[in-house]
Amino acid sequence: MEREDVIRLFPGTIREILQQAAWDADALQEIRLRTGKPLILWQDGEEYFVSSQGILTRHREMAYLVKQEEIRTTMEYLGQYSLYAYEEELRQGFLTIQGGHRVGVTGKTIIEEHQVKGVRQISCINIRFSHEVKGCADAVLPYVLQDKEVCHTLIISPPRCGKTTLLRDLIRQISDGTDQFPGCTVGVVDERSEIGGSYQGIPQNDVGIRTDLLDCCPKSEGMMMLLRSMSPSVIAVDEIGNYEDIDAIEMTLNSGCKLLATVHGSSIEEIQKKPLLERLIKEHVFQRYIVLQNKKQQIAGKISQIYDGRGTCLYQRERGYAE
Amino acid sequence: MIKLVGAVLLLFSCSGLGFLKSRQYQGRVMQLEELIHITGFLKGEISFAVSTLPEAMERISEKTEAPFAEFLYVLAERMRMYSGENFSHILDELIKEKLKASFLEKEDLDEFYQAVCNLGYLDKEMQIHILEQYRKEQEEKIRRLRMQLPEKMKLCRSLGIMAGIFLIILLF
Repeated sequence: MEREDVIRLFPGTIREILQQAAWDADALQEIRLRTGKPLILWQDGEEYFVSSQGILTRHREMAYLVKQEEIRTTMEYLGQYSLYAYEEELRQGFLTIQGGHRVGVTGKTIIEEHQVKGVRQISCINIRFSHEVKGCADAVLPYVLQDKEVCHTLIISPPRCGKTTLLRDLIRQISDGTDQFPGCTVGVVDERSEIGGSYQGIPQNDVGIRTDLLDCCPKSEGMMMLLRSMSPSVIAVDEIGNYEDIDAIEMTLNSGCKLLATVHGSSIEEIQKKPLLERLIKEHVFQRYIVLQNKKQQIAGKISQIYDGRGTCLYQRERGYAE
Repeated sequence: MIKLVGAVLLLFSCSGLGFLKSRQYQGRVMQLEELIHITGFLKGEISFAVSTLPEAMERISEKTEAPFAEFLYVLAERMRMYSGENFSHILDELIKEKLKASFLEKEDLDEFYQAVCNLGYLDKEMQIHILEQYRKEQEEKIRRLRMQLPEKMKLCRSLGIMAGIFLIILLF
């Protein structure tokens, strides 16, 4: 991602401020705009206020305050002057722009028959920048493969610890193949456009040469669709946890497909307490559990432990060791 | 002889002015109808094609005539530049630049601006509603203008000729 790609998303004054500011395009995680509130930037896990001179600061009083008109014009740019074309996505509170970056919005919701129909009078924007990290699954892949087959794998991670980034690279490597593995067809149900970062149906991230991706599709329906029509060897989904997900997962397992999934949590013990997942764990459905490191330890996105289906530890990161 | 030539020229120029003014009345009605077509196309693009606004503008520019064709094309180009300005500012600037020489009056241009300036920011339903409202209002306006048109055209032409004759009599 280039600086210019980010800067051109914004209008007028904000654009000038970001042009002056010293931020790193590769480390940039989020830019948040809220009407009448400070302009905020997240980089390398740290929050910064941005002043009108483009200075990144911790001091709130120095921050540039975002105007309502700037929110509106930013949305015009992000939506290519065509927010009406993003109604389906806005119903879920976000839209995906070119580059696979996700734009979350809040404002006044339009409710129809007790369902959110859209968002009007947008007052807050959160642009979350997508960074694919090719190779981040290198250390994990040998554990996920057994006898040249993919194991049913569950990635357990607290929020913002890189589980989706890891899943994406796993998908890519399984799809492309490696020296030790020939590659196979992967079906991905990308319910929130975070894995592929699809823009107009085309994944913006590299998800592999044999990957079929369903964008903005509910997981349960998506898994069924893929099984029926795309003959995947592996199905990958992000953040399982609903009743509908569990039923679809069971059908996937019965079909002979391998499953890659992620779930929010910090340990197997914690997710075992979730009623929906308890059964899957007790029945040893998953053959591999990959636990990502807790962010509080300041080493986000790192693998903490890897277990097999019976709970035997296959890998344990030593405390205090950082790569 | 010179007086005769002068008188004829005076008559033609005054009559010409009268005919030009009557042509303006007629042109205004035709261009208002063209604006209705444009907003109709926009409504279609938003409802069914769900194309982006710059794409829609460019496609519509191919279906319309001057001065709107150039106006819409340049509008699409300016939008794609993402130069830092908002859409309503670009629209306002180009209306003043490209449609100033049209037969439309300030009131017509303001109404068109109001109907279009929020396009791309509002949801589909609101956009279609606003365009539909604009269409109805302009159709009503055109109906009133058409009723007055024959009389106004006749008046302008007559006044032009009469003014010419009057000036000839006055001067000669």
